[in-house]
Amino acid sequence: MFAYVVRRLAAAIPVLIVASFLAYALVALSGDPLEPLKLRNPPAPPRTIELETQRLGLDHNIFVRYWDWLWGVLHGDFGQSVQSNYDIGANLGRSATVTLRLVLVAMLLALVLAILTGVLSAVRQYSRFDYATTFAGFVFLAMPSFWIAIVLKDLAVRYNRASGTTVFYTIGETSQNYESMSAFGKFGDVVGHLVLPTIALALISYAAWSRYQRAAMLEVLNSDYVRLARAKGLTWRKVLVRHVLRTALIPLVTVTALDIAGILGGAVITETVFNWNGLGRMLLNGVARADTNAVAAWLLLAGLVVIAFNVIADSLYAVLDPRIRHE
Amino acid sequence: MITSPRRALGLVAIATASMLAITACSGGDATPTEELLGFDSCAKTPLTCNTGETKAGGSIVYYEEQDIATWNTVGADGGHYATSVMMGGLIPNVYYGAPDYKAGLNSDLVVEEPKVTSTSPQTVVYKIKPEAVWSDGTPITADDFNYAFRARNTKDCPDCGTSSSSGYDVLQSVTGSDNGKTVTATFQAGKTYPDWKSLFGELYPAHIAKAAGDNSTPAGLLKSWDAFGKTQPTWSGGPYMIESYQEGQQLVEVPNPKWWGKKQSLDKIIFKIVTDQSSFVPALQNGEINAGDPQPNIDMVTQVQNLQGFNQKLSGGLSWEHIDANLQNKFLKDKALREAIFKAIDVQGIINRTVGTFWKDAKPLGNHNFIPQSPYYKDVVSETGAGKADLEGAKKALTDAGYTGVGTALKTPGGEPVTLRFRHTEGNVNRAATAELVQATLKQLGINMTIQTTNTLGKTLDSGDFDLIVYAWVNTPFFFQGAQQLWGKASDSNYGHWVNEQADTILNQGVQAGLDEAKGADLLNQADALMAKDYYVLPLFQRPNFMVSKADYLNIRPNSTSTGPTFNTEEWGLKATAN
Amino acid sequence: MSDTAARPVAETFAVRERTQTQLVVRRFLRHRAAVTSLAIFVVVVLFAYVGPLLWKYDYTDITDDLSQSPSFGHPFGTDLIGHDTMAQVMRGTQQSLKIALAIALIGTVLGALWGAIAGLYRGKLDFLMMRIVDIVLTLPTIAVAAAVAAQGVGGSQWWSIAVILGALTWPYVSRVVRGVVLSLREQEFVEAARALGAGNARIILRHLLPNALGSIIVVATLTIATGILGEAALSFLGVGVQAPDTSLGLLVSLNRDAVNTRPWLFYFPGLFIIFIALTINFIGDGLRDAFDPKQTRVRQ
Repeated sequence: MFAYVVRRLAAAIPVLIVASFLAYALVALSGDPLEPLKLRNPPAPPRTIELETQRLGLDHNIFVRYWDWLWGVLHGDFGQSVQSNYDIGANLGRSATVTLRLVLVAMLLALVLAILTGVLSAVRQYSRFDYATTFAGFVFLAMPSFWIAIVLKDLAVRYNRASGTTVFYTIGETSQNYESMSAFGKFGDVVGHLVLPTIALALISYAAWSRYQRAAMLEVLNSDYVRLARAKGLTWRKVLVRHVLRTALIPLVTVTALDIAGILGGAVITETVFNWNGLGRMLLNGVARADTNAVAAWLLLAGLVVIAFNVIADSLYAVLDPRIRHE
Repeated sequence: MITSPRRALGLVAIATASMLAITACSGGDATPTEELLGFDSCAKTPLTCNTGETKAGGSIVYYEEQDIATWNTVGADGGHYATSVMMGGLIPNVYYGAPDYKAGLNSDLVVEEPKVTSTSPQTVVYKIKPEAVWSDGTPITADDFNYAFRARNTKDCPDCGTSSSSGYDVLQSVTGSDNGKTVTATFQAGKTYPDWKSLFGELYPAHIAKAAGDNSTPAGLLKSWDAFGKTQPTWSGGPYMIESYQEGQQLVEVPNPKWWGKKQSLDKIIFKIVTDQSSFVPALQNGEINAGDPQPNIDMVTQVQNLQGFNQKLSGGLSWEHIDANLQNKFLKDKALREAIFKAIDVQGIINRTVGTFWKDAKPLGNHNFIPQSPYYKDVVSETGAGKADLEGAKKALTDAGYTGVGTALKTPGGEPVTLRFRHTEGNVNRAATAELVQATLKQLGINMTIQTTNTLGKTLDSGDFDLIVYAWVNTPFFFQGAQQLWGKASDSNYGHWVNEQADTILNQGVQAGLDEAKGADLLNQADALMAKDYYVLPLFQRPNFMVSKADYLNIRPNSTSTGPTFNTEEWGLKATAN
Repeated sequence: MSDTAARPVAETFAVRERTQTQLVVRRFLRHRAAVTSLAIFVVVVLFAYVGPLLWKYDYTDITDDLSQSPSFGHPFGTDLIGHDTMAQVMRGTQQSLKIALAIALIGTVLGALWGAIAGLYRGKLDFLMMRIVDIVLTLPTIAVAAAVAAQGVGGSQWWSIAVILGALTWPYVSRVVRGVVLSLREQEFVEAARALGAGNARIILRHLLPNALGSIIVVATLTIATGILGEAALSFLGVGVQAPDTSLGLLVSLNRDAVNTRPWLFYFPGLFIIFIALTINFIGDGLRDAFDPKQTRVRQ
């Protein structure tokens, strides 16, 4: 098991290198970072364009540029951003904290809700509860993430205006006077800003996961060994918790970990709608500015998170299902 | 901005911080009265609307669409509107873009209107106020002017990247006298620089530069120039100074205690960085922001107009949309075809379905160098019949030139079917609408026009990969230089490759005569009339600017120039009667 | 629903007398939500493809009614420049459906084969194949789309959006299928087939994939839904289908500011996205039940 994890993490290195190179190349292909400078009116002096070209290494071919960047990363330097003041390394860390806060809270919320409704609706299959949650799940699953976010925001602003309070915040992670707040006030402020994006992000994962959980539960409930366990006279509760739930969590574990990439993608949109300055904005700005270094750095981090989750999932898979062996 | 994340987005040209109207400052101070509150009178009295008595204290949260790009607003990657607006309260200037679209004299910094004391060589003398100091007490002197000159002229420091060196590169020397409080700027012999008021629009402190690098060597200059870009300013030469900055989130400014001008009212100005334009209205409704000047659209304007307790104003901006013909296209090099296309296009119809839906003052633009708010604006387009939806005239032009299939399937006199490709930037609603409307019009002439979007406008323009294209120029009020850059035959920005020797000659004469502004402008209009008659670039409309502010704030005014509304932050304040 | 519940035991024994397809169809027809959804979906498809032939406006038509709310003449209202929103929604539905189905096809076929091969062979090949999956999974869609769009080759055409999203979707399918296959290959019938001398190709195609079919169909239907939503997300980020063509995602994201002022522009295309994704998911649900005969009702 340990050897397996080590092997997987070792394998992650070439994966990240190849993926970051691809991202680097894609961004380089997507446009010229100096375009705004070249189109300026009055025109920027030719020397300035030359200087910027050199600063960003645009006078080299893509392999050399990538190699220089990678070499720098190994020495703790993420290279120059198109926006000269933008410290890629520092922003990577800061954005990650912001985004992971959003993503982890949303995942937790979605997971808890998904397991609860998934189990309940499988056990009470074809009950009113089952129909209601199934239908709700399907509806959430069918809504574009930005659509949910925009509608939620609209509702929240209406609520605030109707009640004359500001319970929900619509822009950013904290208020402008956050630093001067009391500890309690800070907590309330963070929660007030977190509520809407978290719900927007969690709803979609929740919907998918509760479907998976329900399906997996049904599959196990209908299996021979559960019938056998029942036939042997084990109590329903014992069967449910020891045999059914444990087995039925396996697919969910995979799906959850696998979805992290999708959730990070969803967070890009949620962050945009709610103006969070996290990894999403880093990626979008990076692509918009054709900032190869920033996007490749983003990819290293996002890729690492995705791969880490996958390794965790595969390891848990082995723990939960003894039939799967990692030799 | 996120809806169309491609860089440079709508604007081809990014206005630099120093862009401001060239005409002399005017406009007397009206006595503040109650009727002047709000933005309603801003069209008539742009300099004095929303004036009133303020009380000390309070704060404002101001919406900005982009983060600080660099602390050196005129560094290599400088020249961003949002950055200039946010830094407007701390970087001193001689002239700024005023709400009346003219050059406003910064009478806090200089004693009197600077004078051109000689025309050969051109010499300008500035007199700095004796009490003007940086926030650490060091006087603002000729050294600061000299530093701007040396860092930006590309000779004293070849590696100091700057967003614009124009003007500085034709200066010979900048010297001080009278304890450094009198500055004499002398241009190179034989060089005339009519746009001289654009100079010294952003002064950085020379004594702080000196601490970072020796100002007398290129290497030292480079060091300090880069340091200005990288270091969050602790200094200020204006009413406000930076208290804190959180990247991508907010910039907080507090009063500069050493400010020598009118006492500031607000304790705090918070610039909230909101990159998603759709968030403007909800955040405004939610009280998370108090004021801002976002790019308007119909839904934003409609909702803001329905809000209680807010002042709002739409006014003409400096950027203007236009359709360019590529004269290297085998069909469009024929003037008759261009004439027909331009005559057939319904500019008023395009306006009615784009900006006109929310900005009632929108009207067809008739000049390539001046906006209607300029005293030199002259309609040179109407008389050519372009943009008038004149299908009959268009068909006649084609028939006269020997085209066949007019109105059905147009063929050149040589028998070749006419097909054209129209480009516009991805995700720009107004341009997409323009494209569709032009397509429908040309269909009536029998021209099959396809629409193709681009997400690399610069590349598309540079490589001439278009037949017709719609985009925008920022109408730099430094019209002399702007005109030459856009329409001169040797210019790289003349993307459609229009060459007319006669117009070029007049254009150059205009620039040479530019120190007499009216005379120069008249020559420019003559050259422009020649271009209009050749059906090369069809101006569509001036884009509107939108300014919104909570009604409790006084002395905050719309300013459509690239200086933006923060030109007078020291006057901003809460209504004295507000609680 | 009680008829499903009280399925007679005898039916289990009747299996051999009917073909697999007949069985699946019979079971599917018993799934009321799925059948209703199928009917609605057919109506949506007819609306998208037959509607434009009957409706008086084309999606490119520019009328003189600007930003009008829904009326008899324009049931879905009109937009800023005078397009009839219903005609636009018809066109948008066409394009979005094409994109979503293409994504599902590319994603499912590629993903199922990839996952099955990796799961069956295991070992080094599996390891390598799954690392390729990891690489593709980490690539940000927006960067791929921006790079493709900048090349000007098919950029912002419906099929280029479909290929981009399909090429980024298959890893999800392959991981799920691999998981199922890993579990199936340990089961007796695969060992039996192997003992009978079946080759790998035969095992994959005849035993593993059919037995994983339930899972594949669930994933595939979810993929159609995510395809519709993925197209919408790309449009939101500005790199989807471009005007003058349109798609449901483009219509919604262009009009996201209109949610309060001209709600018909935001809600009609949005509802169509939801309708399509919703019905397709229900259909998939019905198919899953139909393919999986083990599924019966347990404990009340």
